[in-house]
Amino acid sequence: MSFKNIINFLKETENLKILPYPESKELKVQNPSSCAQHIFRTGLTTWLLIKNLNLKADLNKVLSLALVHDLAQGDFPSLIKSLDNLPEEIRDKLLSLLQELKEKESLEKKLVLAGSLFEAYLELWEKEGARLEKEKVLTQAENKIEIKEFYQKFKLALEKAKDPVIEFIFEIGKLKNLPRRGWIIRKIPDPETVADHTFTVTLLSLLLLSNREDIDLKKALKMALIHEICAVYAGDYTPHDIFSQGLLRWFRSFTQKPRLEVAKKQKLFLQIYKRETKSLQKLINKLPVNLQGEILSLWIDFVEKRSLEAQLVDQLNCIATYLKALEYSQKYKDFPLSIFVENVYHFVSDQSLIDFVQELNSEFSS
Amino acid sequence: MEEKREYYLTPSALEKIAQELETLKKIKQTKVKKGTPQTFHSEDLNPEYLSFIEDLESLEKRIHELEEILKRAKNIAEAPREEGKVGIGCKVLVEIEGKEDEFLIVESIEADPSQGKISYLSPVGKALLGKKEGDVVEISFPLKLVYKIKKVTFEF
Repeated sequence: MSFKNIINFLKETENLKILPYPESKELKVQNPSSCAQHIFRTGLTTWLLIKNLNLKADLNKVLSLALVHDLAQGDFPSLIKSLDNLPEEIRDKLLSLLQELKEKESLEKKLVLAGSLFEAYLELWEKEGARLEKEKVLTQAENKIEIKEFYQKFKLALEKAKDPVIEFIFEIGKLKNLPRRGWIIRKIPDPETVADHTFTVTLLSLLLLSNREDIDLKKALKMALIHEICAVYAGDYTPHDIFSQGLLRWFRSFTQKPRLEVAKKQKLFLQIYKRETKSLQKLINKLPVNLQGEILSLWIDFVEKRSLEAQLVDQLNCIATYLKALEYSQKYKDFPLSIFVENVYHFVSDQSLIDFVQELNSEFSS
Repeated sequence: MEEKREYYLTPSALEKIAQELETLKKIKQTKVKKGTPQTFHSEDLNPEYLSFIEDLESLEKRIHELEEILKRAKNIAEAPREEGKVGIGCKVLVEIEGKEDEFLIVESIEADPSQGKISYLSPVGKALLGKKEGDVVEISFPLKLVYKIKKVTFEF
């Protein structure tokens, strides 16, 4: 498969990390999140509410629809144009999702749109709850959020009822504003956030894994969505934060890859694993047992790279970072690209993903 | 679909896989013993039933995956090797950018570069495979990466 047009499509989706999501205009949200950040929390919210409320739905379809729902609602002409040039199977899949969002009345579509509005109203309340009238917002939301159970959850959120699922959704919202540390330490202005990055990893999973028979796509999409959530309390960090000691080494190490013997790398990995597990448990420990169990098992699988889905999502995680590094290297002189080249050449071992990386290199070199 | 070849895994990876398999089999036994949730008029109407089936299907899929891996798994000590040359199970000390770095070359299913374990199928793993102490390995695109091999030891 030629990846050139997939890469062009991905380049266009970077605008979703800058442009506000379409619903924010209608709701008049001040300083709204980007499309990518909104899509991230919509995907997670819709999945968790479906499971928490015991609603029946095709989760594979729900997560896929959530990823592209703003393309159906907003005005992104160059993104839609690049979609038309995607390889046939991928293009047809995305077009079918967009068609469902625009024309059909499936349960999955209603759930995703309700989840999206839930997320939008939640953001409205987070940013402007102090000056808005609660009853007016509730009336508006009740008229707009078609899935009544979702509206009831939103009402609980505004009434500050102790609902652990609502609390969890509020907490993961922090990732929309948490810039990725690897870009901060390299002084990239206005860097992408953890939520932005998660959006790209999830989208890459949909684009590159959906036609693979050996992959459970639903599992891969869920894993992509939760793979960074422990950053809510653990923070985002880079290998430099862990490996560097002393100010001079700390300064120099941003342009050089940290280098250690295997035993020390394994020791440090365990330290990080412990810290992240603690953070994740703090985040999920009040959730209902079935949700806790699912999130924890997906996360452990991802960190320990047990399943094929975990191994591939991990490689896509590295590729998403590499894609961003390539963009930054074109924009900013002296950007230390070699660290990211080395990382991706260590991490990626699936042949189709290696081919994708080589195509990325060609595209960004031309 | 990947061809059915052998996997050469470290003792800790083999142990982990065996432990996970045992745990999942016990969970499956418990789930099935508890019995399936009641269905209403039709299975389609009961979300609990669907969730149970979904969980059981995921469990069974994972059990099958692990059984397949164990069927084809061998101890990494049995991996084919040539004395002094980089192969699966080797620890490789390299010099790059004037500093030393170290990797363990492993199968993809147990690779984790953050722990120093790189797959022999990754671009760097492939480049190092079959090389010996003193060799210089160069990856030239998109940037030049030069690894000088300082030491090769078989760890298992």
